[in-house]
Amino acid sequence: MEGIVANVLRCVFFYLLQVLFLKRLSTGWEGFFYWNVLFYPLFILLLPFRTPRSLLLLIAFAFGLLIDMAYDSPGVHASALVFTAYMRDVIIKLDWMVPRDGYKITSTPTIRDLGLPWFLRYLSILLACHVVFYFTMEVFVPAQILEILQKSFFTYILSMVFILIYMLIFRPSQ
Amino acid sequence: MSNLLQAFSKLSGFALFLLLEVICFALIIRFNSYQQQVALSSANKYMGNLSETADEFEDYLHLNEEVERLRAEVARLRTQEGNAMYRDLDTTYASFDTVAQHFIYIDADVVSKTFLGRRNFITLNRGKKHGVEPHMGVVDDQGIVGVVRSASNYHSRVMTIFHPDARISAKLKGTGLFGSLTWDPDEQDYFHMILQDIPTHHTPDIGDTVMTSGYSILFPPDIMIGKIDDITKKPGASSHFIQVKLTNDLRAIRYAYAIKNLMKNDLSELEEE
Repeated sequence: MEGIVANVLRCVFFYLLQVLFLKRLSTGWEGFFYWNVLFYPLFILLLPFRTPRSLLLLIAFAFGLLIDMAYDSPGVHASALVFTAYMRDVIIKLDWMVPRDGYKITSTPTIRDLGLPWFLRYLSILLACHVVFYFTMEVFVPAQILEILQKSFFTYILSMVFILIYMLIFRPSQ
Repeated sequence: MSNLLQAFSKLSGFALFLLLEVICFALIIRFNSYQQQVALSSANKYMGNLSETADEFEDYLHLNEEVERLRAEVARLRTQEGNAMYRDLDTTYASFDTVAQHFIYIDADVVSKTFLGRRNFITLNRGKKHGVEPHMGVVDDQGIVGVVRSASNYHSRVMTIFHPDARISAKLKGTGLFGSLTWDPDEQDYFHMILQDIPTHHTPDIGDTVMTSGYSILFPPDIMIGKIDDITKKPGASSHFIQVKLTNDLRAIRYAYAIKNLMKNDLSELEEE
């Protein structure tokens, strides 16, 4: 129960952070830089392991649509977030991602539970999935792969920095 | 709502993932003008290509019809050409021209042909019903073909120029000189004919054009026959022996036009008197 409350609060906080602060930050730089901080995927990344897979996908879908409302781009963020949520399950089951004694039923994918190296691998792979998928949907022309990769690169670096700063300062445990 | 959630949870993760992505994709295309444009323009491109291919295929199916239509058109246009007309210059009063139709082209398919021996005939799928009669000239789009020998209701038999009896009145373009064109049945050469009776006071050049003269009732004037290939002058003879390379290849012929001379009776009346 405690976990649910924590996650709902985090959901609201991330949403407001993304929509009210980070969105303005990125539009202010439009025309000069491709960066565009995507912070909200961290919400999906931090949901506990015991979250059922289909619930995870539906949450990602709904949360993505909420972000899209603010960005006025129905479906673009949602599709990327659904993809990230799907990949989350795939990634954590990879052999080299599973800790030596397996995941504990109550553990959460955080630095506190699984350590910084594990979290860095987890975050870097999934954030890359998200960012590349997002810009593929945004540019929407597969032939403009260069533009997709360029935008993805800058956004990835900046989002990574923001998320790591948040994780190291707040050290969320749930 | 909980039923819906239950239904969703029964789907496998991958199926749900696909379903949600399809919904997202639909939303993206439906509500984002930029992505919608991209999707529409690429869809147009592919659909455009597809319908173009289908059109081409359909054109191919209608090719026979189209060829027939074009041939009718060619017959009509050749009928309107100057050399198919009879110019009636009235000098009694003021000088006003009247033009009367002189020749009519009737288009026909070649239904059988043999080019083997000394006497070569082809059969056309047009006959009396279409106005084809014996002693009508026959041409194709590149040259002359022959003369109608007999006609039934729906077919006609054409003596080709590759026949010992064939004599075509021909002239050298640009001169008033004319002679008769024959074929040597002993040579069996289906590309050349012999032009005789060109007087020796004029020496034509190799490559000169040979056309119908218009002096026979069979062909209108100025229909292309061929070009001079070789000229020999036999000692003591008063005319050249000219070999003419034909512009058409009769062995490949598939269709032809029979030429009806509307003033044939007018001319034959003169001969009867």
